[in-house]
Amino acid sequence: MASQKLEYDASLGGRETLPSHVATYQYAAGALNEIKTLIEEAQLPASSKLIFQTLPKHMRRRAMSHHPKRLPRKYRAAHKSQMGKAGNQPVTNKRPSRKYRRRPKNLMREYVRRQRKHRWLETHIWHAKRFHMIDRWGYRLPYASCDKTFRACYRASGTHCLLQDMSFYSCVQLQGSLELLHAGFQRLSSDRCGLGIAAKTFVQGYREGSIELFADGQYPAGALQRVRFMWRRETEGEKANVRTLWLWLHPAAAEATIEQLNSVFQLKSAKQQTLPLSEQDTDKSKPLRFWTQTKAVERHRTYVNAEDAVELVVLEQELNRFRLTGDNCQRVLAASLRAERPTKLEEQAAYCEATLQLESPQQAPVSNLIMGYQVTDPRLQRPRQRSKAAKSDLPATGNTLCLQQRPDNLPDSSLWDAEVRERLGQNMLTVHKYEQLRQQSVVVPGEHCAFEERVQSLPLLLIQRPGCHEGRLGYGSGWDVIAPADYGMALWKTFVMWGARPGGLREFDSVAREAGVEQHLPDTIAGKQLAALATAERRLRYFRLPPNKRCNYRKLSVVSPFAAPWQQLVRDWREASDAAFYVLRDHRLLHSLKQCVLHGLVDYPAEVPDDSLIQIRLQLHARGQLKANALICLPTAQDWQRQRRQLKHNDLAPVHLEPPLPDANERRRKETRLGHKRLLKRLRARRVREKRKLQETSTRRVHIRAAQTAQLVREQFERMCRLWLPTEPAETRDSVRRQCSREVFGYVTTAGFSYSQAKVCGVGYVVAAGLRQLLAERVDRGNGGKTLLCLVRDADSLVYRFARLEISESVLLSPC
Amino acid sequence: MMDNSNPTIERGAKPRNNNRRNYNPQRANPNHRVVRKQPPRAAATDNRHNIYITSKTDFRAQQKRCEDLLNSGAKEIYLHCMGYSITRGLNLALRLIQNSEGALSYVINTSTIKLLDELHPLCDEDDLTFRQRNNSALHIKIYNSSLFDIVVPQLPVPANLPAHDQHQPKTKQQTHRKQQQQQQKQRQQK
Repeated sequence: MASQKLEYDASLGGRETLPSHVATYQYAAGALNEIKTLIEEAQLPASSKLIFQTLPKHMRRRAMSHHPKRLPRKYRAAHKSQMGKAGNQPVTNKRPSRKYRRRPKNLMREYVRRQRKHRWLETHIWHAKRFHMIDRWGYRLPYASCDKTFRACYRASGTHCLLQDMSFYSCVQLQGSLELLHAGFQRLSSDRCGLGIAAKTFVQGYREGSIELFADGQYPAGALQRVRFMWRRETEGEKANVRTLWLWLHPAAAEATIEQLNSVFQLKSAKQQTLPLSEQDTDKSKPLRFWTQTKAVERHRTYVNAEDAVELVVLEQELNRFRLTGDNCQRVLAASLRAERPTKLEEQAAYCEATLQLESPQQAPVSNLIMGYQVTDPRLQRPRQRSKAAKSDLPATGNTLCLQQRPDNLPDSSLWDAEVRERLGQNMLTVHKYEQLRQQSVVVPGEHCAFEERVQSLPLLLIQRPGCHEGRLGYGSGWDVIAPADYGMALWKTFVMWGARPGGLREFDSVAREAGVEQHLPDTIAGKQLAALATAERRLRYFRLPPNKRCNYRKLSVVSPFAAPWQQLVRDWREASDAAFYVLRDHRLLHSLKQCVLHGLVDYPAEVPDDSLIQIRLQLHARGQLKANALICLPTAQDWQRQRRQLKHNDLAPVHLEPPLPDANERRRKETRLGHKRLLKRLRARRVREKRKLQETSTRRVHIRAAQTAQLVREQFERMCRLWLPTEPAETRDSVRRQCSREVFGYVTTAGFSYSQAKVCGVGYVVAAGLRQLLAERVDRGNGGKTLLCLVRDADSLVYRFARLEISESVLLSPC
Repeated sequence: MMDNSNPTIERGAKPRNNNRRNYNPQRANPNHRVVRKQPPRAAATDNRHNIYITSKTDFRAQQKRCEDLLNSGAKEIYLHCMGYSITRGLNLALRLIQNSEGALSYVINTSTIKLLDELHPLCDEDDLTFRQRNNSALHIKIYNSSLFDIVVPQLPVPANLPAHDQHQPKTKQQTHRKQQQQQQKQRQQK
């Protein structure tokens, strides 16, 4: 039934009566308002439509909202801002074409942008094409070759030539009188850790030395790092009593070390200097007025003493240091470096040539020898094809006795001179220019040209490394080459062309492991950093595994599966004190300890502090595997008995198996997991119900609400992690020492199969008190002179095996 | 211009006392010095027939290396041994000759090798010094003395794969396996 509509007009029976006339001013006012709103509407449309929706039909295109280029150009900016406001990602631009990106200008701009975050070495581009690169210590460094070269690098480091770029070490130049520097470094170091910085053998400037640095006056705690240093040779022409010293700092601890040096020598940054206002105002009556001078650009960070007695300059990106390891590096160096002739330093050049004629770098007349060498541009010395440098035909003058007669000026080099270094970089012939010149002037392709005689020569410093003193005698010996900036790539390519095998950071570790030493001790800054990094990585990997592939450390009774808890280990082995742990570096104590362990004829030195850690070397005899973070334990009488029986029957089974503990958390983990799942399910059901309810009253389709359980899931994950891992060793006493059925007195830090020993070898640290107990038990058993054995167990296994234990004196040597 | 401050060369006994019973910590390290020994160097003409004996390598491995060399046609090999490894070298030579049943003979030479040790100071005031010492060495030549040692000239190796037939129709992009199969078939037919 149609409803009856009411009429408004009075003539048709409604209530409204229309006026017979309209006043014009009223009408005009109304029209004015209408026009205003129309104009406003036209200027700022309040429509909810997007721009591409407002287009007429014939201008619309498919997927217009995604591709702004399908819109007319005048709408594009508005469209982008609309999409951005709506919460959608503003439409990403297409990556520019490769051709555009590779244009030199754009490429260089991109390189500069990428170097802002991590600094690059000079050889970065070369490495980035061939190596896995990692971020370490503020640099982007090559880790290992993309090829499989692990064993090849070992062979290279032994008998061929391994080449590594270690320019990331920062060089710091100290200038001052010898007495002042000596006194300062005495505060930073101790004479118990071997030779000091002003030892006679180093001050003469022909040998590179190394010194252990500690925070000011905190020896034996507060270790910073072991630093290599070299003194500039004293010459007559120089300012009297001012000596120059270069320190090579590891980047992990460089800043901390510079800070310590600044505080010891009371240095202030030269960037901001406070100067007296004027000369006239120096009468005593008036208070002195000062002004501050600030340098806008400082090429090298400089710190000076108040009386200008000591100056410290950080030579960043000023020097390149390449490391060559292996017997064949003699040949590689001899082939790549040609002495510049004629030269003022004829004796020096002849001596360098004779030294490089020797069979192997370990035969160099003096260990850690520094040689200056003025050579022609290394680009002129390249072979046509990459080839292995062969022994030259020159008769070897290799009589070591003849080489004993060193010329006085052997370590001299213009590389020490800042002006020369700067000039070298400016006058260097660029690769492009060099190729152009060759194109113009070469007569026979591949032969030398006339202009090559005039290419500027460059000074180098060669530093010998003697290699290891134990195990494989002389392994790891080689030369370090220090070159001025900008010449890094030229030199690097020449070495590679002569058959040197490039290696990365991994090779530093593997060479150290083969030599049985450790690069960064656990109490140094770099050691702590690296340990923290490794711990995080192991933990991450553990929880990435599915639960049935994780080993249960509670059952294995391992307290700290990812990191060695040095602090708690030392706490459990001493009576009462709470100082930080430290590694024993006293050379006399270490020497007598070594004799004690080796022969058993010297008594245990009583002065060894009970709470120090002692570096040891481990070797497994028959079977078994050893990984980093393995436990070092004390054997019991039962183990010795068992070992004797096993030796008799030639039985290679493990000497003891850790009885697996029951895991009390297993049930709780299951309950927590189920509870969590149930909770999530309940929450989802609630959201579904909510959605259905809304759908009933709504005409449009309703979507389910977002879950927003991320916080909940994260909390659950953390709870589960806590239930998976054993309780923190910091919480209870004796939790580390008596964590399993054998007493723990040390941890392994680096381990693996050693090619040079053909055995599984490792480096670890033990507590002195534990070692004393082990030695006492050896004497009690009546075989005082026998090799010292201890038990080792990997963190993820139940198996205990015997390993040979040796005291390592390598903490006192320069890092390999 | 020679360096006057050069370290002096001093003469001395062997650096390490192997006799444990007479071990005396004071005597072993009288000047408080760390000794760095330079490893003995190989001869300039280094080739496979010179074998340097160490006491660390497994005896049987050394023996096998020598036997392999001799079996592969080497007329003579030289064993060089020094100091502690002299007994090892003698044992090895005798074992080789014993096992050869009269095919091998030997000649022995003795010599003295000059070695130079670096003595590192333990206090700042001292400089590096060197110590020259001598070590006895033994050079054993083992050679094939067999009368029936006939050198067999090496025959040229016949080419094992037949050349491609000219008649064979050329197919596009033959895989390696197909080629092999065809070659096998051809061989069977022949």
